[in-house]
Amino acid sequence: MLDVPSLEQRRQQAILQLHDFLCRECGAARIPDPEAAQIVGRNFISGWRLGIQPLQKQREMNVCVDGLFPFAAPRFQLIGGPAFLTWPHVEKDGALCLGDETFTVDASQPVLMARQLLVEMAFPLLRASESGSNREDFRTEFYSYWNASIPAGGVAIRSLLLPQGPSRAVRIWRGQHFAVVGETEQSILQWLKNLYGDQKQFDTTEASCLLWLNELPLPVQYPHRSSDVHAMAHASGGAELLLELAAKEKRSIPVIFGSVSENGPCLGAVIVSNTKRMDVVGRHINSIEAGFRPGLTPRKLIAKRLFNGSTPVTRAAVERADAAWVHGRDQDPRQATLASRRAVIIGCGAIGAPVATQLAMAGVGYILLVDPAILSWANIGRHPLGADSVGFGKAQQLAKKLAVSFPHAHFESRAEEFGAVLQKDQSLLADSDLIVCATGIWSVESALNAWHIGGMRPANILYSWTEPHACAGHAVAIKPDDACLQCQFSRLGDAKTTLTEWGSVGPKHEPACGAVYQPYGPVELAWTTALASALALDCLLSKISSSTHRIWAGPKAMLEAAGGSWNADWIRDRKEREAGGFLEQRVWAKDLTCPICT
Amino acid sequence: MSKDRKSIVTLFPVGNGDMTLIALADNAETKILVDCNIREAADDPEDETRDVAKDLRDRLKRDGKGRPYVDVFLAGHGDQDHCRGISKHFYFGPPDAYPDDKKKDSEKRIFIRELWSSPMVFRRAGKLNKLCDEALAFAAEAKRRVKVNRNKKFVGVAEGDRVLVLGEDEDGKTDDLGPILVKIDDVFSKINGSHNFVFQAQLLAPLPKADDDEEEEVLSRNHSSVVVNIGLRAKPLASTLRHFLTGGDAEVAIWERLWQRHKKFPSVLEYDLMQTPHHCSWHSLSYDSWSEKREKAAVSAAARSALSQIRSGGKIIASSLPIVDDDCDPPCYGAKREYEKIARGANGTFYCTGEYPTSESPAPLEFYVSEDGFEELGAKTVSGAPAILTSGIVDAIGARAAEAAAVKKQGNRRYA
Repeated sequence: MLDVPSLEQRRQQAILQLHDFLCRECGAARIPDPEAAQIVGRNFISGWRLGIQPLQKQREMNVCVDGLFPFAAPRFQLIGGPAFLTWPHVEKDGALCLGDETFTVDASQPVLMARQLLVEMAFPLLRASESGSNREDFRTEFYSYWNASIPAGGVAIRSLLLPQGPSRAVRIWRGQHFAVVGETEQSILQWLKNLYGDQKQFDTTEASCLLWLNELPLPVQYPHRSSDVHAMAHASGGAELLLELAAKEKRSIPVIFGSVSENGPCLGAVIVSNTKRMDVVGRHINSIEAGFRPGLTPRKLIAKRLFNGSTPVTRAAVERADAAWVHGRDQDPRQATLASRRAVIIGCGAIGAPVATQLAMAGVGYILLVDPAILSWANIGRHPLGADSVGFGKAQQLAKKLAVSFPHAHFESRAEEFGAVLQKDQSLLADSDLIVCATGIWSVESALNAWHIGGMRPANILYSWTEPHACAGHAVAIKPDDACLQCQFSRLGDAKTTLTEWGSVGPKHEPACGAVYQPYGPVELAWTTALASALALDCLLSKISSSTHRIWAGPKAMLEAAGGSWNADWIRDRKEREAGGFLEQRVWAKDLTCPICT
Repeated sequence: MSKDRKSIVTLFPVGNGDMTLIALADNAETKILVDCNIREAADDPEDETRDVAKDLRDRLKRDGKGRPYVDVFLAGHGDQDHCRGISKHFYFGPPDAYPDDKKKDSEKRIFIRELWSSPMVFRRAGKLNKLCDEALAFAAEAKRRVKVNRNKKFVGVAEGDRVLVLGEDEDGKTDDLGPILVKIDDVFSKINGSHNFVFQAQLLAPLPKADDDEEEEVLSRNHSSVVVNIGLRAKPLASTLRHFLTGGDAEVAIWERLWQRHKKFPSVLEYDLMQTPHHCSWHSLSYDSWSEKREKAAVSAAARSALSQIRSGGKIIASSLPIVDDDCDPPCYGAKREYEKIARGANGTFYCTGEYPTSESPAPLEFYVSEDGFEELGAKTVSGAPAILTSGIVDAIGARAAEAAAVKKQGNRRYA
């Protein structure tokens, strides 16, 4: 065995080097290890204290290391600094936030690491903080500071709002533990029912408003009293909205505000409480309407009483749960398109179900799932549904699962054969932007193809299947005015392009009539489902201009382990294909003798 | 450890030029900037010249609108090496029209709450040479502010419009400026409209216009400058004032006249910290040419006396390029030797901004005011380690780092 230092030896050596640097060059004093270990909320093992003077004021700062040192950087902790939220990037315990998870260090250079952190990051941060030159960082990292300013136990607000101006009236549903704010009552209640089921409390919403500000507030501007909220409304052109809200809402007024930071839009919320008091005989009276019959208090008076400055407000965090945030944190330019797209998945088996799940995760706004099959125990090893769905319809259970996972989107199911849907609900298919046929059943595929070409429907249809043991996969996007599926199939449903040969190795049978299956697992299949999902997205985003065939050729070792070999036509004059493990795209060529499209 | 504010004088390494920030230990943390010499190379991120604009901005506070500001800007002399870069880095114009509020902090021009300007200095400089554009811009801004003050009858003048006129102009042009005029030998402590309890300065020059044309010619030719002896307290209730004497580019004849005026009461010229006039030029001490006469060049006794009123432990600073033993002037090696002698006589120290902490990598030189005088910030303790990490020391620590980086922001490009 090589004589290499243990992790502990490396750490101790690095700590000694750091000690030497901090004491000799920085005038630091070692904090006894037990004291360093007692620094609350941190797992420090060693620490040093040094005096610093970034600008005019002398301060003290700890430099501490935890058990990951030197593979993780030392932490710098300001002692006796200004109150939390006075300086950006300084946590409640004074720890300086110098980097994020992309921050890397060279563990072999602990002194250089500390020197660089001190000179290039910690000290400049303190100088900028003392001068106030970095206070805009409170806005660019708004959530870190706003959310930290909220007392524990507050109600979180989940937002389905479009995070953009102008200031406007919105709706809010308020539960005991959380609230949901959205543009319309319907969108909020549907979201709740998707996530939690159709419960009786999901019947109505309340009025609220979104104040869209020119810029996000700095911590010193965070609203403390109702007059602050009124000032915020006034500045955002939402004073009238607030007034209307004050006249409508008796309990308390939830006000959402937002603005755009350098890193994207941000939202926060403030709850203005309608203060209650008791009269001389102990009855609760509404101070806002005191002196008037219920409902007859002048609106201006309500506003004046509510926003008189002395009414304390409660700040609340707003978690964005809208599609643009869930699917790509506002950074995916495809989202607006995908959210408006409708997809139909025919066949919710080992390919159709993962493809439907991936499309939902990618942000497709509506998915109809069609499959009459019941999920069995043998299915769940390679299916997104699990044991809790065994015995239930695949389409129905998958639609439920996806609705819970993505409550802002729409999912429907039909537990019917494709033929029945075609007979009863052709419009479901015709109105879609994409149909994914993942049955691998020629009768379904060929009938769908004939309907597609014969009906001249604008939507693309994507067919996907695997070869035995999932050693090769295919995804074919058919344009209605180009080569049809049949063009590259024999009339008996044999694909003209097959990659693999299996000799005497045939499909497996369960001990039951017609129960044919292929013995592959989810990992082998993942290549094909990814192939199909990617082509489906391209179809939905109108990136496919002609009928297209994408092929996944699995690794040769996988093929041989399953008892197969490459089809001689596939590798003829193409030696580079023999190793497998690649993706290929080709044109799905038109057959001039095709009985369907010619 | 004390967390009290300190009054700090920062001299930036700006080559042969002046740029000095005085930060007061008052509650408002008042900042007075004396001169500005931000060279193009210093603004060029590709150039290794010290980015003194950043050094300056790092030390300034931001106001309620997020603007970096100085409470006072004093232009002590009309040459470019005292006002280079002001148009780029400072805002001149009506405060309501400040245009940079939507810009990034690093791009916002510095707002000047009160301008300290001397019409006589600019007038004399303009007689000898055409004023540079920066000086003209400064003078125009001073005129604008004086006009606003006149129009408002000196009442209710806003920050950004305030101005203090240092020294009377010729022909009674400043006679009506009473509330904003500081006459020669006046002691004043008003900054930006309020009396300041850690600051008290005495204006020593520019000397008023001489009745005699020949004398006026001498004053002009000797780089008429604002000479001011600034008293600073370590903290608002401190009993003693420690003095920082700064004299722009004033040359030998002016120092001789100052000595004549004050030799009976030389304490007027006493200092704990002095910025050598004219970037350590021989011509502040002598009428002779250093390059021609070298060791035979005679020092003016009167000028030397004016510049020798150092207190025990005092510091003398040449704001200049590194000083080497050659014919160059300024900075002049002979002048350095004279100042070193003056400093040694008081157990004091001579510094050069171009050599601190090293000639290769100069950094701002900072002194804080203590009850005993001016102390170098972060002065080393007996053990050799700094007592406290200041900007200068941190810069020096950084300069000792190897080229290679041991920390990389956004170094991790793998995700899971």
